[in-house]
Amino acid sequence: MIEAAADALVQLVTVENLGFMMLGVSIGLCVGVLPGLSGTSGMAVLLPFVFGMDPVTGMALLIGMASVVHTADTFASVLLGVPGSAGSQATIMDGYPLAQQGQAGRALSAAFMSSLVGGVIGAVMLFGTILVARPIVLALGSPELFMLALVGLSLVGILSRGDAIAGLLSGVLGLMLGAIGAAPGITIYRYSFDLHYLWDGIPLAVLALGLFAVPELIDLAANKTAISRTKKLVGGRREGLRDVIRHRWLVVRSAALGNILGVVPGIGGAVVDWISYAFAQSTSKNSEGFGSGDIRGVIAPESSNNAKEGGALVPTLLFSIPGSGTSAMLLGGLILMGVQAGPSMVAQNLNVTLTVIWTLAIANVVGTLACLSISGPVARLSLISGRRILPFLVVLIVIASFQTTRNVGDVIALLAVGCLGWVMKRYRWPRPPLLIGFVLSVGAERFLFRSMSRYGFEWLTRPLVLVFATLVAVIVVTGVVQSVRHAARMRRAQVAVAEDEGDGRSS
Amino acid sequence: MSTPGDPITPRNPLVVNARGKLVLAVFHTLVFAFMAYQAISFRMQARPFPLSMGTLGVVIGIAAVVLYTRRLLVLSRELPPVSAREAPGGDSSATTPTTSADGAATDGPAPARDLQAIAEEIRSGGAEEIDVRTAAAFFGWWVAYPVLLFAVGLTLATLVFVTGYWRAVVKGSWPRSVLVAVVLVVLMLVVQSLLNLRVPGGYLIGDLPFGLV
Repeated sequence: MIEAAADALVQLVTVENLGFMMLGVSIGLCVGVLPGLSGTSGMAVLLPFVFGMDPVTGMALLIGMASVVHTADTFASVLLGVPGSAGSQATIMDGYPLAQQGQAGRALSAAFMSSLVGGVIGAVMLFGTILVARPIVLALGSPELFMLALVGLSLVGILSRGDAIAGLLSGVLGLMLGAIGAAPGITIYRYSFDLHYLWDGIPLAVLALGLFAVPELIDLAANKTAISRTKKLVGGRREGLRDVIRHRWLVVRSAALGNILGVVPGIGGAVVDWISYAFAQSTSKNSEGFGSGDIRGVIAPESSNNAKEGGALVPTLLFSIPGSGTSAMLLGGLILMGVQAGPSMVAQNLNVTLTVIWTLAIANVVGTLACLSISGPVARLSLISGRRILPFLVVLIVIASFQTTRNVGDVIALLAVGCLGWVMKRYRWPRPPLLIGFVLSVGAERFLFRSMSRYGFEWLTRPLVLVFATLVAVIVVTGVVQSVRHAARMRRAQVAVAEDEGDGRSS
Repeated sequence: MSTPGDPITPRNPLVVNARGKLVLAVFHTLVFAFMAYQAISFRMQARPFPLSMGTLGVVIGIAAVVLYTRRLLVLSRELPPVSAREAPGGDSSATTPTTSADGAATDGPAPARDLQAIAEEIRSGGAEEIDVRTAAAFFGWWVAYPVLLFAVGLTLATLVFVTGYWRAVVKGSWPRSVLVAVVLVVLMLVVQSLLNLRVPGGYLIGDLPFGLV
């Protein structure tokens, strides 16, 4: 196997293959930087070009693009508080507060370094799991996948920062918004109000941009402030790199988690980073700073979302089961190049499989170096007044949202969700749970539907279902306990503040 | 922040925040009730998920409305009197349970350092202090660009929008405003052609010379 891996590396390292990989990496970086565009959009652009290509060259192009999207999408998440893509939503929780504190350079470099390590770990784990992943993937049926969706949903308590009931409402609203459009397995269009646009539901990119980008940019402009509330940037690239070394085990843990979750088809990249974030928060000491600029809140999701790409390739390449839109397009690309993915891929096209792994590792290194080299100047953008950057971002975001379904409804939905997002932001109503609920809604309903159709209520007694149910219970109880503690501390502080200021007046 | 004995004015950020949360809780509950009611009319296969989630949402929503109403009422009265022993750095061993802002008994003192940090959080824990009219004006700019885009297409809309914005908001000179707009248009056209992005054609003015949209 080692010999085959070495042969694959030799086969990959040609001017032509490396050139196409660099082209893929460049496009992936552009796609990642632009908010709202995902790896699927990049794949859609590249797919027509791989027809008839040599499989190694074509995969270098496609994998080169897909592997760096989640590295470059950090720019928007950290600097604008806008998810650069669905996989970098959790990074905004601490990345954006760090940028507001003038530490954008530190946050970006820590994110890129974690992405690099996560991506390489993902590639190594892909290599290791190729032979042993089959029983794991086959052990997960619809009931287990439904429970995994519930694990993701149960995170809303942890992510609500002390207002669990608002978080729950927000999460349920996300689930309900996700139910808009066609029902699974039947041609019924729910809550569409006879609008053709709503037949396919509200697009995720539009919801994410409206919920986060519009309110954030309106407030930046209205407050006449820059993203950074300090006048000088503090904590540069070196500090970010030191952070990654200091929290090296968090990087490894998050990468492993991301990789394992990536193997599970249907979970999707949009959830992996949230799970990783919540996992880091609940397992770290002194986790009070999470959500207000803790570098660990950047490191964990960034490490996992790049590692997830390696995991997602396991079911895609070995079982022809695409876990996401990007993987589905990758499968299409393989077919265009005359390669059939599936269990026989390791036997008949081992060289292609191994070059995919090498491309994944090399592209991550190249992408990270490129991002690191421009992170300094880009971080300075956080010092520019919000009023000056608003017109550029309005143009960019409106055009980006229009790409989703290329319908005028995209822009109307963007503005409507933007209004809701602004009200939620103003009253500190938690927005991330809404996004999580929305992302999980379609999968959860589909898996529940299949579970009930196939097993009735018997699926509730399956061993793995019980394990996941226990995990959900633990997460919910932990979230509730944290909320109760937080509320109690706030109450005590409220009393203390009142007395403190009363003393001040009387003296 | 109000002091003990002073009624909290409606402009207190904590009250504004509690009021906003109550409105949001009512909004969520009404949305869930409507969606659950609609779900009853769906065919069997399409019904269980929205009906069960909608019902769950209504239950949580009613609980939230009760909770936030109670919180608002308590905050609208006075903050409770406290003894010196509960203050930061006070004699923690002698602390007695006290009634909090939402009527619950607290469960012991917090370390003084923590309290100072959390006190800051409380001060900033109310509604965000943003001028609603200014925010609405900027939302107007968000609406203006898509309207222009669908009316006259990418090139003209971006030119008009950015020039107008730069003149009106940033107070830039005419030449600079036009220059900024032209640079952005060129950038957008390059990105559009590189990534094969689709942009809406203008309903009033269609294609422009030189293949511009």
